[in-house]
Amino acid sequence: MTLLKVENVTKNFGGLTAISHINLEINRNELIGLIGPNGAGKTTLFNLLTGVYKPSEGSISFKPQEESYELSGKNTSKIGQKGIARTFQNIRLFKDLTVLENVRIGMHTEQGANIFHSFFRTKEFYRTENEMTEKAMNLLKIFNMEDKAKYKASNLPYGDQRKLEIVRALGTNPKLLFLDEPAAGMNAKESNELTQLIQKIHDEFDLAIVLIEHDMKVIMNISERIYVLEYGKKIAEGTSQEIQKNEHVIRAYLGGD
Amino acid sequence: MKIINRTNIGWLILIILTYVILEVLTFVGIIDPFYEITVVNIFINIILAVGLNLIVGFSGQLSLGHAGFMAIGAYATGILLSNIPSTGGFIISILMGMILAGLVALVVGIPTLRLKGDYFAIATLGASEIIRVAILNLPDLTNGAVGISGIPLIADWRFAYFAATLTILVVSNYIRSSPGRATISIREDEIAAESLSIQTTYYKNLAFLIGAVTAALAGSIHTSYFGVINPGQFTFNKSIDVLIIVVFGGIGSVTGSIVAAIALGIINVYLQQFGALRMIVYALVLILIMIFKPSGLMGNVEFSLSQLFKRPQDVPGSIENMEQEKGV
Repeated sequence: MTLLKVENVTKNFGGLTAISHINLEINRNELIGLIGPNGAGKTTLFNLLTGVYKPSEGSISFKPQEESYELSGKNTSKIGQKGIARTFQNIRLFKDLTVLENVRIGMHTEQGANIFHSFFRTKEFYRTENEMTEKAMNLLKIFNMEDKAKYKASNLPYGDQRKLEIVRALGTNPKLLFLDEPAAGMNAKESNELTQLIQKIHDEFDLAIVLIEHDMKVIMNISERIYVLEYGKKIAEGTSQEIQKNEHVIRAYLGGD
Repeated sequence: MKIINRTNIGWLILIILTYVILEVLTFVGIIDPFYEITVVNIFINIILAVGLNLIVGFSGQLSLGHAGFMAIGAYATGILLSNIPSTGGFIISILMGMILAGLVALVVGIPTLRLKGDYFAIATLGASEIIRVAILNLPDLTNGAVGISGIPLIADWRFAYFAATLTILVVSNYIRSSPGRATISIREDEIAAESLSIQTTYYKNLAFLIGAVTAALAGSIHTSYFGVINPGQFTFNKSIDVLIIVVFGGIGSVTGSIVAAIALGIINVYLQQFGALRMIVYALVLILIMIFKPSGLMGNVEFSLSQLFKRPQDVPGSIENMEQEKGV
């Protein structure tokens, strides 16, 4: 069943067409790889799908349940509320806050106490707050980070910061998760662990994942389907075996006439 | 966790204890009428600084117009209380000032807080000047540049203490709640906050609204304690005075704002005997703070009773332990 349908989406920055007439479809619970040479427009596409940029043309429809929503033109927080979360290429944690606070902020919109209860610390406030803390700790436990709950986010090692960003995104209870180069800057061992982690999220949570990655080992190992972009255009799609043999893709990466 | 717990009882005792100490000092005569003015000024500055800190320190939006909102509260009380000289009139005037200040905050905030960058600082600066000039040019209502005098003195230091305590409680409850964390996340990284479906514009406006409303409260108390107001008291300089308290105490620390308001209040009293030298010493203190403690007296650390009460067997992750782990 289709979860996200991108039709004919184009984005121009002045005279530059960063994304041109892209069509893609993501099904429920799928794990999609998105690859392409540097500057192909992968992150721009993520930014379009999460409302950071507004598409110049085209439509994006998202169908988390029965109802389908049009996302193009909506702002980021609205899109997030519908069930889309993301991580960033350059880590964007709330650095001065603790690990637990980072995760709880992700949970706020879904289950935070409202302002009245917060002002006067009613019973309801304590109930929601405890519930949220418990859920956040459970989520951290799944990723073996519960003993680091009180660390400042900026004091975590690099790999854990990447991991925390993913946990925080999962806290919003998304149906679709965009991961923007989660293995960037990791060594072979770390990226191996990350591959397993993504696989685990895919198995245990009810959500679809779209993954931008330059580490081909990660992509080829876990993606069920792969989209390839070059110069803002989609040049190929298919399973990892198909993509590895695709002439356009080989030419895009290695050059040739 | 129950509402009646160690931490909350501890705070209650602290509030009552401070009150009793002040009452005794007044009774004994250590706080004479001269020092009482200082004490009330400190309470007013606490309300102003805590409110401004919510805007500047927690939502991360620079507001340069705090004096404008104070002026709204001051004039609401000044005008209404002159006409209805009773405690009831005073309460009504406070509420009127708060509502008016809140409305003005929304009018300024809704369009400008959607933008990123310095527009908000400029807009608030402009708004506070507009308010002051409007007061100057409405002599029928506000008595123009002369101001209003002979306003019934209904607020005393007890009322100021009550109002300051209430402001501190509400603001610190807010920042230690889920919406409060959402507000802080905007300061930390607005793009990330938005990606976590936090409605950033809403929470920025909310912080600004709360700040403006508390400033109006401070203005009302000022009016009804001193009995005299004029537009010259609410210039840009007043906004900067409050901002200095916030920066001095630590941007993002309610405790810091309180400590700084008290410290600067006391410094001011002792410097009065030096006359013109006063401003120089005052400036020197500020420069020294900037050199040796650039993040302010308290940085972004909060005083926390639950931290003092903490026992080793407390469950990790319970709210009592959440409050003050920033430096772990």
